[in-house]
Amino acid sequence: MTHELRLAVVEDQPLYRQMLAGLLNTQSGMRVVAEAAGAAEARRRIKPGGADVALLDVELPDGNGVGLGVALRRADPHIGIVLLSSQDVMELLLDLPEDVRRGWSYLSKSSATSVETLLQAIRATARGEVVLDPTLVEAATVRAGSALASLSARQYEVLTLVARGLSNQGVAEQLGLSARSVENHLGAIYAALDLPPAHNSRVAAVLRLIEDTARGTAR
Amino acid sequence: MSDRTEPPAASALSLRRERFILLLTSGAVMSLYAMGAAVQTATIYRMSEDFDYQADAGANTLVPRLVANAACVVAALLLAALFAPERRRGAGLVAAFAVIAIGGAAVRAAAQLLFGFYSNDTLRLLSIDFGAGVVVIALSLTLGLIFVTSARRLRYQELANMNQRLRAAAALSALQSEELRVRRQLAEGLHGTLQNRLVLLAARVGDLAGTLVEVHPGAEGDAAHGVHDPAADAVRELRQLADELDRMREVDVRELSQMLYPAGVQVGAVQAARIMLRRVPPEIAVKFTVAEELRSLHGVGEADADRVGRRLLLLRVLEEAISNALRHGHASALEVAFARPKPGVVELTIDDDGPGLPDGEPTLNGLGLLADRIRALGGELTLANGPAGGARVRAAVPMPRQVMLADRG
Repeated sequence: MTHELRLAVVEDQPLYRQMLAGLLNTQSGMRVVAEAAGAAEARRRIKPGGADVALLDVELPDGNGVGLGVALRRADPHIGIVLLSSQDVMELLLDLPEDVRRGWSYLSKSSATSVETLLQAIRATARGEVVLDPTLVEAATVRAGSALASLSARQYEVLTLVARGLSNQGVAEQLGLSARSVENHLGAIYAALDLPPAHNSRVAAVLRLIEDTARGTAR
Repeated sequence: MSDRTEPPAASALSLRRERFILLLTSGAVMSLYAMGAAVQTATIYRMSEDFDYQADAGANTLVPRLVANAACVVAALLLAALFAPERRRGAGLVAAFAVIAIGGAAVRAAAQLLFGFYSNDTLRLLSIDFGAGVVVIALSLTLGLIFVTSARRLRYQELANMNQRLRAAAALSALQSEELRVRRQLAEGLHGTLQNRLVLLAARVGDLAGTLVEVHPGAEGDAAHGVHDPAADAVRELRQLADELDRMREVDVRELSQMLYPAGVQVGAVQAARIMLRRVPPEIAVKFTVAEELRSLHGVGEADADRVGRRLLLLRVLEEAISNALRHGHASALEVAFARPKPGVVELTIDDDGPGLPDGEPTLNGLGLLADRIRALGGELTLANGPAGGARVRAAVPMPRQVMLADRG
């Protein structure tokens, strides 16, 4: 770890919030610097430049975590956002304004999300990646007639690993490929999905995993 | 002035308008009569005078007669403006009529006397002219008042209609808030309490199977050994039950909760629609387009009940259209679009690639009730054949603006 990640936790259920903060504080390289129970409180407590990643519950008593995330990001262009929800609303990531799209992740509270997944998502989000709940991605089925349906099985596999927040090196290790061949796969994926090559293709490709699929049931 | 019993609703503006109507109507009638009478009298005198006097003697009386009659009209209108008969009733009205008619007729008589129209038999001619003046003015005023009364009745009717509409809108809005509250509460109850109980129940059933296996170590194995073991059957049954409970929790309860209060509806109609569309089976191609203006997220704050209610209507239209397309239309592709035809209106269009509507008048069926509610909000819902041949459902719902907190940050 180059430096310690400063985290903010926004969650209205006190027990869950405290458990989450307690858990994160025991991790090396992470420290919870702000806690809030609602959107208004969060906006008061999370100062621009004061946190690297904010974990936001989507369903807040005085608003929603997505709108809050957009507001926090507009105030601080470097803050990463991890959304947590008990309602499977990963689709909310699709309507994020263009200027705030990178560095957003989504994890479901009711899926089989593990602590390891959470930590991985936090770290990847801090780097500007978009991480999707692996259980929900696994349960998703590619929609007929979509661009995603034109990917090969290998390409689809690469994309789902990228959606877990793995770097190219990480994907390569996982699949027993060279980093170079992962790059080639990604290039082919961007082309198949008709994404502009320079501009945030990685994020846009991952979001297609939501847009071009039907949801399965999380088990 | 106890006679001035206007209903409280009459504003200064409507009082001014009523006076204007009275003066205009009775003024117009009086003027016509004044001109007609002057011309007629002057002509008659001239014709009769032709025999006795100089040929142009009669023509000279036309202008003074017109002047006298005009003075009469002006006087009557001034008095009418001053005494305002349109605001009086009963004795007050009669008194105002008398003052205006007598005053106006007196001015005319005085003017004619001054111009020297009465050379002989002055008193008799004067009283005839005076009486005629009173009658004409009174008739003109009556006509004016009839106009005022009908205009007033129209205004009251309009006012009553407006009040009725406002009351109906308030009742509808209260009903809608209540419906939303109940929906949300039910959805939360399903999502929270019921799901948690089902989790516990499934766990207990699973435990029971575990206990059974502990007591009968052979029960875990399959029944392939040929020996029928009731304990193994029971364990298998219990495990199936636990799975069933899990499925019920994950699928049925979630779906019900989603139907009652769609996920994402607090954030926006577009967002909730995306979530709903991802539930459409993967074999169905779905194309979803959203107008750029509608893509922005609706801020941090909680959306008010009215707004959520309107979104809910759109989502129910979407839900109904999807289920119609898949069930009756046997569609294999859907096109869903959110547009903003003009500021403050959200338009949702759903096209399918099915065989289209059966011949004849399209029946709204499940959409009918939604159409009524959308119409009550000033919107519109239509069902027709789309350009691609399938059915097209289109709903336009007025959507009031909301302050976007996120954009302020």
